Order: sequence, then C-alpha cells, then structure tokens
Amino acid sequence: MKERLFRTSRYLKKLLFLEITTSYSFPMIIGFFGIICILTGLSAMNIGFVPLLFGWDSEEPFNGVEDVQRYLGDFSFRRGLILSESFTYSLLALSFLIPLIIAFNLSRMLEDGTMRTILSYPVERTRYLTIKISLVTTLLYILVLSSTIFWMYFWYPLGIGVDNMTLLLASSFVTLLMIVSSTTFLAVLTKNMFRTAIIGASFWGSISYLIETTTDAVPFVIVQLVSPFRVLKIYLAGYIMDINLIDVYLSLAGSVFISLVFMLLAVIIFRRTEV
Amino acid sequence: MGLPIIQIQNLSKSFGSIDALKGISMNVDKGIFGLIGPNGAGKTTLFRILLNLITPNTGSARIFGLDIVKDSLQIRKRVGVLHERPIYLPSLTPLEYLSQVSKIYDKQRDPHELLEMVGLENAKKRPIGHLSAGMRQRLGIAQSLMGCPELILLDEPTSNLDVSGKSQVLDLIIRIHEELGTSFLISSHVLSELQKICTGLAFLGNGKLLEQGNIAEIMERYSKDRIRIITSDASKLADILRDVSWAENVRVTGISTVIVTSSLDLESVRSSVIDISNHQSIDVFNVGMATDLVDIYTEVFGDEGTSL
Repeated sequence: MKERLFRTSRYLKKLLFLEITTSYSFPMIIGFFGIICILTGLSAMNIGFVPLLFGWDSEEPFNGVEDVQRYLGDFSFRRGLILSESFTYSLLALSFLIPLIIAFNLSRMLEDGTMRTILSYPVERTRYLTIKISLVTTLLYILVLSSTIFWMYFWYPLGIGVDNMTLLLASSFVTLLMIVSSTTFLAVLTKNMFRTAIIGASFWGSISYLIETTTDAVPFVIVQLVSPFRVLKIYLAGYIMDINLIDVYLSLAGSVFISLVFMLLAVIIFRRTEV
Repeated sequence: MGLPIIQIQNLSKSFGSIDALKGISMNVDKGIFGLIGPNGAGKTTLFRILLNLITPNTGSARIFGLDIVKDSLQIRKRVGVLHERPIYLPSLTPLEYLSQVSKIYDKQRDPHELLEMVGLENAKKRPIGHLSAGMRQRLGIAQSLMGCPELILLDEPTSNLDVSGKSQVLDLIIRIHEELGTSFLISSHVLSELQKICTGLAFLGNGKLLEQGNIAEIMERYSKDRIRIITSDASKLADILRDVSWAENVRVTGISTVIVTSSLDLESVRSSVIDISNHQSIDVFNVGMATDLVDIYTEVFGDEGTSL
C-alpha cells in the first residue's frame, strides 16, 4: 500500500513536471504575468475609485472635516462591497481569459501534434488531463488571490469576518473551476484553438457580464449554479443583510457538481480523442 | 527467431468515408523493419494505432505480446517514437529538452551520452530553433532512445532532409541497432532508403498490405524472371516487345527503362533485345536482372501502391 502510494505520487510528480515544462513556456508565463497585472490593476481601480464614487456627493459643497468623516464612515460600510468588487473584476476578466489560456494550453496541443508526442510517452490520459485542469485552476486562483491579497496588505476589510472571507474564497474558487472545467470540455470537444477561444470567451464573457449587470433578469437559481461567487457577493455587498447559508452551500454544491460533470465528460472524450 | 515483436491481425481504420487501413495482418520480427508505401498508404495511421493514439474500427494488435489498447501504457514504456515533423520548443537547447524527456521515464539514459551518440554533443547548448533539419531529426532519434526502448517507431525519419542529412540518419539507425540491439519499425515512401538498412519490409498501398517479408525473400520471389533493359527509347522498345512471344508483362518504368518478364534465360533475352535494337535503330545500353527493390515495387505494386 505504502509502495503503491509512493509510486503514484512519483508518477503524478512526473506528470506535473511534464505539464509545466511543455505548457508553461515563454508565451504562457508572459500571459500569466499580464493577467496578474490586469487583475491587480482592476483591483486597484475598484479599491481606489469605488469608495470615491459612493462616498462623495458632488452636488454638495465640500464641508471640511465633516465630509471626511462621512466619507470614512461610508468607506467602512462599503468594505464588503469593495472587496467583492475586487474579486468580481478579477473573475470577469478571467471569464474572457480562461478560454484563451485553455485554447492555447490544450486545443493548440491537440491541433499541432504536441499532444501526439506527449501521449506517445508512457503517460496516462486521465491523469494527464486531471493534472492539466488542476494546475491551470490552481495557478489562476493564485493569481486572483494574489491581486486581491496585494491590496489587502495595505487595507484589510474589517467589516468581513473570517467565516465570510472563507466563503468568499471558496465561492470564487468554485466559480473559477466551473469556467475552467466547462472550457476544457469545449476544448476536447472541438480540438480547435480558435473555436475554443471564441466560443468559450463569448459564452463565459456574456454570462459573467449578464450576471453582474442585470441581476434581476437572470433567475436566481441559474446565478446560484453558474456563479456561487455572485451569490455570496450579493450578501456581502449588503444587498441582503442576513446571509442565507443554505443558499450559499446549495450554490457551491451545485456548481461543484456541474464542474465535476464537465470534467468527467472532458476526461471521457479525451480518453477517446484521436490524436 | 523468436516470437514476432509486433503482431497485427485484421486492422481496419476509416476516417469518415476514407478507408485508411483495410484489414491489415502482418508480423514484425526483431531487427530493422521497413514500412514502405506512397503518401496516404496508411503508414502513419498504422503507427498511431500501434501507439493507441487512435482506435481501430476492427482488428487487434500486440507488441511484445501485449495488447495495444489494454496494455498501452506498458507498451509505451518499452517503445520509443519519433513522429513525422515533431514539434520542439525552439528556445530550448537539446540538453534541456532531453533532460525534460528523461524525467518521464522510470528507466532512462543519460542525455549527455545520447547527444554524443547522435553526434550533437557540440550543439547541446544551442537553441533547437537554430539547429539544421538533420540535427533536429537526430535529436528526435535521441529522445526516442531516452527510455531504453526495445523498439523504436520512426515515421518518415528522413523526410525534408538533404542527401547528407538522410545518410547521417540512416547510418545512425544502423549503429544504434548494432550497438544497443534496439529494433526499429521505420515508415518511408522512399524505398531506396529502406533497402539500405532494413532486414524486412512490408509494402503498403491504399490501406492494404501488398507484400511482406525479408528483403532477400521478396527479391527472390519477384526478380528471378524480371529483366531490366536500359535503352535510348523505352516506349518504342516496349511497343516492339509487346509483340514478341517471349516477352510478358512489358512495362515502361522510366524514360529509359523497360521491365519485362520472361521465361527465357538472361542471355537469350539479351541477344534477342540486341537483335531487335539493331533492326529498329534503338540504342540498348544494358540488359540485366531487375534485382532492385524499387523496380519490384514500381513494377509489381505500382498501380495499387499509388493510384487505387
């Protein structure tokens, strides 16, 4: 048993190494660096400008210390909103970027023969794809977190407790997983870099935009399943004061289930994919 | 001779309405085995099936007695591969690339040793993008050797190479076979290359296996009654020979070459041809047995191999 575990972990390490060396070369690294800059910039924009927009009424004349105090009061009240907005823009940007990354990282390899070479080595398809999905999800999540954490280093939102923060992190991870798994499914289905990029980016870009901008137009159950992060954000932003944890847990469970279904379908198709 | 290392039973594969392989059955013994056929004959499809990269419609195959579908992972641990036109990261050096490949295998060779073997020790730190086509192909052979394979599949290893590059790659294959005892299955559409290095051959045409055996057997089988005539006017001589009683199956295989089958011995044919040439004012430069595999392939399999 111990020996078997050791061999499996060694094999997984090899696959991880293979994935890093074959997929994360120069353009991908530059791409990821670009993403972290975009996300950090978006977070900066939110943290810097959202409080100003909400906290200052330009109709009224500036009234010295009182206005500053009012502004600080509003600022404190809207900490939840600001933090979640920071995540929101990160995820909105990623809903466009993830299909591009997976198109480059998976569809391109299926198209140009790289995958043929890799699968000619002693590499098991299911494990290889699982490693691929896990690595890209983890890296992207680290990027989302790092851009937010970068700003939290300067300012921590005291209004949000550890429990809610944990839920926020979990929900953003599951939302990310949902986008990655569905796009992976699309990539193995089409085996075409441009189709994956265009269909994936259009689909997830529109969905994310719709959910963010037209809350009432999209049925809540769909929001729950597609974006648990949005559900939690609605609470944290102060739209609904009492968090209904059942809603949040259902949303997380539903999205994890859908993500797993997409991953399973992607693996089944990938196992039969002719390269 | 032991068990064949590759056993193929009735393999068929189609892509939509195109039948790439049509019920191929063959065995491959240890040594250097060539798979010859024109472009589109099904060679690459057969390679991809053997590596479980694509699934056959019917039939089965075994490598080292292991099933290519069920035991694919075990097989790939013991088989090295060089695909046609492999993709490399141009910024990597050969040494970095081989070091990466070595991590995949449980049992691996030293990258430095492999680079020396394929003659790339002086280019080991040069980016792959700066290597010549021949050097890249030798690097591909080096990576195929990384896992200490017992068998290496080479798909068109000399395509896109100049004469010198081809020669280097062919010499390397022979040397590896002699020094390490590794068997090779090599696909090519250039028979003259395979003829130089292979012990066995299979002719593939339009997805069908047309002939298989070791080279000596094939030559013996097809060349004993076949005579090649080199002349100044092949088509005119062929027209004349078609009306001659001893000549059968007269074919023009080049601007100056006529192949003819005859039950007469070579001397009788030669004197008859010279006689005809004198009367018809055609120069005949040589009359000899057609012992070249290229002639056999063109003559015996030409139609099926290229146009069916």
